[in-house]
Amino acid sequence: MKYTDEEIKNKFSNINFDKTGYKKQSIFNKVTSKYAGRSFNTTKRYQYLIAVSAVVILAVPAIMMLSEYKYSDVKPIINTQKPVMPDYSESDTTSWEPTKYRAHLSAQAGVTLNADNSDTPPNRTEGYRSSLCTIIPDGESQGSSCGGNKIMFVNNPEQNSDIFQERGFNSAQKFPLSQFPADIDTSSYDNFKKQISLGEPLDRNNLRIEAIVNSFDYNYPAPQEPSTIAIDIEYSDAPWSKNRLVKISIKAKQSESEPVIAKAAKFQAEFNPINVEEYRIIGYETPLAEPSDGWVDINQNHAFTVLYELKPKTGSEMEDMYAKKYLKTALNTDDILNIKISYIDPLDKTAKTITKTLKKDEYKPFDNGASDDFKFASAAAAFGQLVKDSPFTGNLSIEDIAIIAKPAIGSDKNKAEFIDLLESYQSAARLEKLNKDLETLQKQFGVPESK
Amino acid sequence: MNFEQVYNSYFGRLYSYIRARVSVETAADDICSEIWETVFEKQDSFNPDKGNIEQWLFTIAHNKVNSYFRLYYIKNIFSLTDKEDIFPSDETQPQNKLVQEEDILQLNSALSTLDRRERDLISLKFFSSMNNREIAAVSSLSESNVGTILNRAIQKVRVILEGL
Repeated sequence: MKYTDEEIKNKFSNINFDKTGYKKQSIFNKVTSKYAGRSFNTTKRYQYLIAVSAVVILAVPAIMMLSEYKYSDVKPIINTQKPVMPDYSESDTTSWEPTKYRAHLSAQAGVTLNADNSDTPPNRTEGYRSSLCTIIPDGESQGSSCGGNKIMFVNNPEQNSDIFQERGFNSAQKFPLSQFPADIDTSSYDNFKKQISLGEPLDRNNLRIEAIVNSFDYNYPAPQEPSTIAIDIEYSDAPWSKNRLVKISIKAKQSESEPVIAKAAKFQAEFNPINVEEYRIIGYETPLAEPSDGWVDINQNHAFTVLYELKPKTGSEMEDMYAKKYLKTALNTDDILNIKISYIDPLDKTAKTITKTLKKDEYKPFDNGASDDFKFASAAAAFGQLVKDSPFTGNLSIEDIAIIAKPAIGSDKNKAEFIDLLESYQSAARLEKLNKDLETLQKQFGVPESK
Repeated sequence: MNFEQVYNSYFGRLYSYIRARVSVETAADDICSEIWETVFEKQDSFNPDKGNIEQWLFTIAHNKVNSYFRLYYIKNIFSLTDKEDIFPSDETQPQNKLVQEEDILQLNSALSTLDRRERDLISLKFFSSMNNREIAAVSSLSESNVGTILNRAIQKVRVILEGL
C-alpha cells in the first residue's frame, strides 16, 4: 500500500490516546487542585514577596535585641547551667532502672529484645515502623517521571541495617498499585538453618521471609499455550490474624528452544479499593533502590510465590462510588485484585502483558478449602515473622506453626525438615534467651565472665 | 489567558505529542501533568505579541520531554522502558480498542526507527498543526533544517508503513 505525506500525517494525527477523556479530566484535577488558592497574579506575587521580606527585616533585629536583653540583663536570675545528664558510662550501669539497662545491653549486642518483655524496646516503636516507607501513588508522583508506582524509602537501609524494617499496611485507596520483584535469593534461609544446626548466634535481621516461603517446592500450574507465564492466585485467611491472605504463584513455561522466556519483565498487583481496605506484602524488607530494579529477565521454568495480607472492606454504596474513582484499570466491583505482568517477548521483540484477576467469591476458608501449598506457605511466612519478632505475628507460637505445616507436608522431604527445624529453632531460641539473661546478671552483679 | 479554555483546546494534541515521543504511558502522564503545571504557573508571563500560544505550549512540552530523556539516558534504563506498556489501559470499547491499538502499534514501530530529533519533529508535525517555521522556533533549528529532517523522517516512516 502506498501512502502520500498527507495520508501518513492524517493517519497518525487522528489517533486519540485519550478516548474516554479520563486522562484529560484526571490531569486537569491534579493540576488545578495543586494550585487551588494559589492562583494570584504577578503583581500580587510581588506584593506578597515585599510583605514577607518586610516582616523578616523588621523581625530579625527585634528578636536579636530581645535575646540580647535576655542574656545580658536578666542573666543572674536565669539558671544557665546545663542540666546534669546521667553518666551512661559502663561503670555506672548498676544504678540504672532494669528497663533502661536491658535496652542498653540489647543495643550493644545489636539484637532486639524478646517479645515477652513487657516494656517497649527502644528501637522498635509504632511510630518508627510507620515512618519506614512512603509509597508515592501513581497519580501524585512529582518531579521524576519514571512512571508506575514508585516506592521511596525514607530511611536509609544501610544506616539501620541492624534494625528489622518491615513493610506495613498500605491503604488500597491511596496506593492501589504494588510492584513486586521476581528474583528471590533464598540464601539467607540456608544460612539461618546452618546457624541453628551449628549452634551459632542467630542472624535474625538478615533472614528474609520471602526466602523461607520460596525455599520449598509448590505445585505451580504450568502455563497454557500460547501464554508463556502462568499466574495462580489463591485467596484464604491469614493464620496469624483476622485478615485475609493472598498467595500469588508465578511460573514460566518450560522451553528448550528459548531459554529466555521474557525480557525486562515487571510484576504488579493492583488492589481494588472497593473490596480491600489495606494490604501489605509479606517479606521484601529491603526496598527497591531504583525503579529499574523491578525489571528482570525471566528464564524458563522460573517460579516464585508472593504473599499479600489484606484487610477486606465492606463499604457503603457511597464509599464504593468514591473508591471507584481511584481505579486505574477496568476492575469490577467484585474483584479483589488484578495481577499484571508486562514484559518484552524475546522472539518478536514486542511488549506484551499477562493479567489475572481475583474475584471475591474465590475465597476459601483456611480450614475448609485452602490448599496444602497455601497452608505450608503461610506457615513458612508465619515462622519468618515470628523469628524476626514482627509486629504482625499475632499470637501464633512455634507449636501453632507446626500444627499448620505438618498436615501440608505431603511426601516432600524438604518440607518435613521444616518441622524438625521448628523444634531445633525453639531450643536454640531458649538457649539464646538463657545466655542473654545470664550475661545481664553477670554484668549487673559484676561477676567476672567465665571463659 | 484563560487556563481552562487553553487546557480544553490543546490537551488532546499536547498529550498525543507526548505519547508519540514517550511510549511508556505512565511516564507520559507524569510529563503531561508537569507540563500543565508549568503552564499554570507561567500563564501570566505568556506574551501573545512574542508568539502564538501553540508555539509557547509546544516549546514547554518539547523541553519537558527532552529533560525526561536526559534524566533517563543517564540512568541508562531508557532502552527498557521505551518498549514497555504501549497499550493504553483505560479504554472501554473493545472494537475501537483494536483499531486504535493497531494504529498506536504502527505509530510506535514506525517511530522507533527514527533517531530522537527525527522522532521529536515528526511528533510535532503530526500533532501540533504548526508549520515548519513554527516548528523551527520550538525546536531551535533553522526552518530549512526542519524541512530536511522532516522529509528524511517521513521517508523512513513510509518505508516502515508500506512494509507492514
